[in-house]
Amino acid sequence: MGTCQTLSYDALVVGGGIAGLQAALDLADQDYSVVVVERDASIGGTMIRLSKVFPTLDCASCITTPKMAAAAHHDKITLLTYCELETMERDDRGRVRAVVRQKPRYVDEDKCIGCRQCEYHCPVYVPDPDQGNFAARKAICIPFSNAVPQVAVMDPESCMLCGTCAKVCPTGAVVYDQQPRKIVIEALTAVVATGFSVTPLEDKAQYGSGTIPNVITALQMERLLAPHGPYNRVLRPSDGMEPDSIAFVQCAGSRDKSMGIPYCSRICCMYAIKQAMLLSGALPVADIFIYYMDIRAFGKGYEQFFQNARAMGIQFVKAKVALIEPGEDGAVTVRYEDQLNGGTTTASHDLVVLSLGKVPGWNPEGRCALTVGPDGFISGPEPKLAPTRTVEEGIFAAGAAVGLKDIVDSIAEASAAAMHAANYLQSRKKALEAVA
Amino acid sequence: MGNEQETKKGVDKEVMKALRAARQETIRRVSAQVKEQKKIIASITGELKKGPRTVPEIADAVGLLPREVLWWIASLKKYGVVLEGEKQGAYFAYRLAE
Amino acid sequence: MEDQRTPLPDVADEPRVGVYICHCGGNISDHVDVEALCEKAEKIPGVAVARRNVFMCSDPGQELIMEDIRSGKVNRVVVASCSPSLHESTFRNALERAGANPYVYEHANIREQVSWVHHGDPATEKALKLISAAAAKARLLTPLEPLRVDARRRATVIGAGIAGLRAAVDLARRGLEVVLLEKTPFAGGRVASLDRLAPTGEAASEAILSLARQVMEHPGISFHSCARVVGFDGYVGNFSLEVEVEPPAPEDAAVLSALKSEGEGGPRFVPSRGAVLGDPPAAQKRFRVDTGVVVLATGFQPYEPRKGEYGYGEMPEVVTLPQFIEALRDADADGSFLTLGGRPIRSVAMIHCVGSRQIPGVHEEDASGHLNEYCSRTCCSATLFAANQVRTRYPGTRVFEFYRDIRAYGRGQEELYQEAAHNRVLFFRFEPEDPPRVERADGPTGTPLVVRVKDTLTFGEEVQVPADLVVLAVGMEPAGIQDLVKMMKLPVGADRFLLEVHPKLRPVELATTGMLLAGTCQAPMDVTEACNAASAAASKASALLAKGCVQLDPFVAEVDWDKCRGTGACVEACLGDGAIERVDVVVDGETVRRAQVVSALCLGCGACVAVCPTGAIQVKGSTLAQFEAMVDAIASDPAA
Repeated sequence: MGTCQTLSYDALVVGGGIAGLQAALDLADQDYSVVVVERDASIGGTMIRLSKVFPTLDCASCITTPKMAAAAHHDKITLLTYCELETMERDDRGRVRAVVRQKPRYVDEDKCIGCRQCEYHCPVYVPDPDQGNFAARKAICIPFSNAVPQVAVMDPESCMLCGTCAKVCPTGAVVYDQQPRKIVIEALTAVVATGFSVTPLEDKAQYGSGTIPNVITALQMERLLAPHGPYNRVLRPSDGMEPDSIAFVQCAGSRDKSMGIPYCSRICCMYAIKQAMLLSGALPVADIFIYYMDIRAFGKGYEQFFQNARAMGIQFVKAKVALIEPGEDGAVTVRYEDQLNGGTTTASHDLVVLSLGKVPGWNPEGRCALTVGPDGFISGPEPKLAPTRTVEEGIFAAGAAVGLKDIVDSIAEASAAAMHAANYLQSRKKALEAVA
Repeated sequence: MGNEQETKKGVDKEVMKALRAARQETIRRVSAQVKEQKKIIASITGELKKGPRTVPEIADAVGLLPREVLWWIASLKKYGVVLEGEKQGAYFAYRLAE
Repeated sequence: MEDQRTPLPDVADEPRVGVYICHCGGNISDHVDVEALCEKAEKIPGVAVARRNVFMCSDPGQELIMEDIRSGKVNRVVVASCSPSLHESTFRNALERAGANPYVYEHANIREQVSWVHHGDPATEKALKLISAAAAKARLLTPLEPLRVDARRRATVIGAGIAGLRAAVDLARRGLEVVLLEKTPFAGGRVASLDRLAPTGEAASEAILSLARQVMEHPGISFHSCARVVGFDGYVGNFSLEVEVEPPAPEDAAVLSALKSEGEGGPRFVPSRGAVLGDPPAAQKRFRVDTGVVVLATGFQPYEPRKGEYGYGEMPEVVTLPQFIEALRDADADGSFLTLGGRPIRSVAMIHCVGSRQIPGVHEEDASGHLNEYCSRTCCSATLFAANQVRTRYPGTRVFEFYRDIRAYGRGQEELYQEAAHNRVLFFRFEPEDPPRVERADGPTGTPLVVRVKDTLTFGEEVQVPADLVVLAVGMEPAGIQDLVKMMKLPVGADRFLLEVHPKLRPVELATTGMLLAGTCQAPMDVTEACNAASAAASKASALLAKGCVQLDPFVAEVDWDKCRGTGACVEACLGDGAIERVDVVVDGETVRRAQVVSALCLGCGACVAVCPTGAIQVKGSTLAQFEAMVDAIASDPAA
């Protein structure tokens, strides 16, 4: 472990996704100093990896990047990226004390100017998870084009220490022997916005356990639809064919006790409908199917969005998909119980998108005293009137960390958490002033 | 947020020596991988020198799985080596950048 | 992240316009040849540089602009991208960070006005024209200073339902003075008529009382019941509301005095009505409330089914879900059968989506020609919750649900659905084109009603369900606030709910700065969601009022007294209620009348500019000279 320093702020925000950024901006706009601790090399969370967002079909970047930039440039906000929260506890003075481990980027953050020369010259190609692993990035690279900060990151597991990156770096920013750094953060309040993650494709044996190349996850489909996606268009990953028939399989893990996810993942109906609409724009002649149990289009403007999709000719099939198998020539065979017409039916598609189950992005166990519900998401004492309160006084939680929710609901909840945190700060500061 | 160690251009030779010793295993593995990657890139670009080709055509010619070829095409396109060309049936043809 | 400001680029210099073209992913570049556009833009007179980026609003994109400003390459900026409503402020901030005046900036909308509506060469040509016009205007832009107005550190919350109470408590804790206005004598709104809250079963009365107590105890909150807003003017930081209170209606007064005889104490809860916080007004009275922000928490009302809709209003056995919830609350705690009004209910049929998810051409419009096309979001859980209550309290009473999709989306809601299945609630699924029919039973079912449906879960089989009671899960409609909508010029969406600026960028704000949305006046929400929305609104209000002053864009009218002859034409044309007044000034020893603008009230609409006979009045940031330059640029052939 390298140097250890202690930093003090009014508020600590754990997680730099859309909820964390919104909470940070709301607190900073009220003149409180905020530090955002983000596990990833860039802030932006899941949202920055999306193509467009429902129900307005704004491009995700158009909404996320300005918030990322606003946070990065706010003089009341400090961003600490590539940092794992190791522990967070309240000390005897009631302050939140967090220990954070900053992983080595092997690049000096202050020197890197984001010119990408290292990336262009690095000879090692590695799968790029930010492109659904459909294309390569290099062993040293800027994570993605909109990343904040624009600082390169090296993967030591894929580095052969050839020295090329250091040679081409114009500012001498490459540090091959950089060490992890321990940072202690003291704050009066904290907002936990650690988001969600998606269960792996491999978990679903009936759906091919991830071995069928043309069965992909919804996040992978986001990349295929995104500007500057891996192919710059929608192609079948098995061989680059433009697909004629695309199917979405809903509740592929959620509402499924056998997968350990009995709850509804809440966002999948809407993103599937959105992706279907975007696909019908990108591939006007393709047939698009959505296999669903219930369509849960409950938010403002969502039902109308769903009805538009129906009117556009997207086919909604009320069915539970039982089995997915590889077919002829890269096709995918889907076997389902047709709940409207009865019996087991088989259909063949070029590309199948699974709405896998969503689970908490972070588990507080062993790291802090927050409690979770039976679903694993953070729970609190007042789920109705103050949904962002946690069992720890002065620590609040927002967004998918407190139960899955879409972007609109996450943003509202983040602002709500900021309000509760600001009020807590206000009372704490008064109390501290009284003591002093 | 300065890191303590000296970082000057043309990295400290002693540091590199020590690191290379410590990461021998990784270096061996990655070096082999890079050698293989270079071979694949050469075979794909070699095929494209003959003219625009679709993914299945390249796969046939170089003896790789079509999905591996697509992965390489996408990657080489990202780094400006390959460009997308005309559509031929259900597939796009790819060609070398200038 | 250095924060050292380079000296302001000298805007008196020859204008050097930088044009920055955004691809918007592919939103723009898929239809506009951005490469050609960039080349041509660079040749526009006065343009020093033209650049493009995949996302100009991203950090690297903004950095391009800032670097050109810092290096002195440009001193005016045009960004050609999406609608200015999305990102104009983003780019102005970038200018400011680079040390430039944020108002030497012009926005060209080449997405909504170009790439989303035109394709191919015409799209690129139009984009170039818009950019030429923006550049022509940019050359004439001068630095402006934002208006700073003092803001009253007071917030007014309209509506004391659950969201209004939540917002009031949050704002008061933040140190703001709060005025909470409620039109009824009770606090708690629609939640007061609920018994327990789905999915977890907390008592609704406790939820209301918990917030009501905090409202009563906080010295910073003044609560006015039986209050209506009858007048409104002003602007952010300085709104003024005319409020009228009057004594409660006789039936409410009776309830209140009965309560009072039971003694004093904290807030008291009256089922179906709400919490009583202090005495109602004894006499009619009007007063003024000066306030920095207004939070609208005016709530919803349940959909009232048409007469004859599923037999409603024609058959007494057909009731709405809110009516049923109240009946359940007042019924015996348990028994083998639910008994209502002495009548044993052996079978309850619950029909979902009544007054929600209506489809044009399928459903009948209401008297005003509206359809509720939206999902009301809360009814599925509320219905499942009620069904479970019936099944567990009265095991002999059977429950049948008729639904289109079960939307048990939230935390704990899918569990309700599973519990209902476990409780042997029977589900039938119908298509909107083929809704259930509620009919008088003429057969030997022994029940007064029968519900027939084509059940799509059993492949369209016609099913017939006997029913003693039919419960309609009615949706939410916005509360009747037409008077407020008109008075405050509130934007309303196609769904008739109040319309936020943007669901993700500014989800609880209205277009008028300082007007905020809390809860179900915006869209259907459950208690959790309404409380989050209310706290979010409080957060925005706190940020607005934190500094005691607010900053407004300087795009307001300005009078040149040398040219003004005091005709008053502008005063008459002004749309901004009192934004222009005539004042006496002494010119060369003579007292003359001249127009003067009250900047904070000015809408910047330009109506005055059009009528001024001497061209003495101009709107800053949109002067006539700037407009002429834009028109010239559009009219000239940019290719030439």
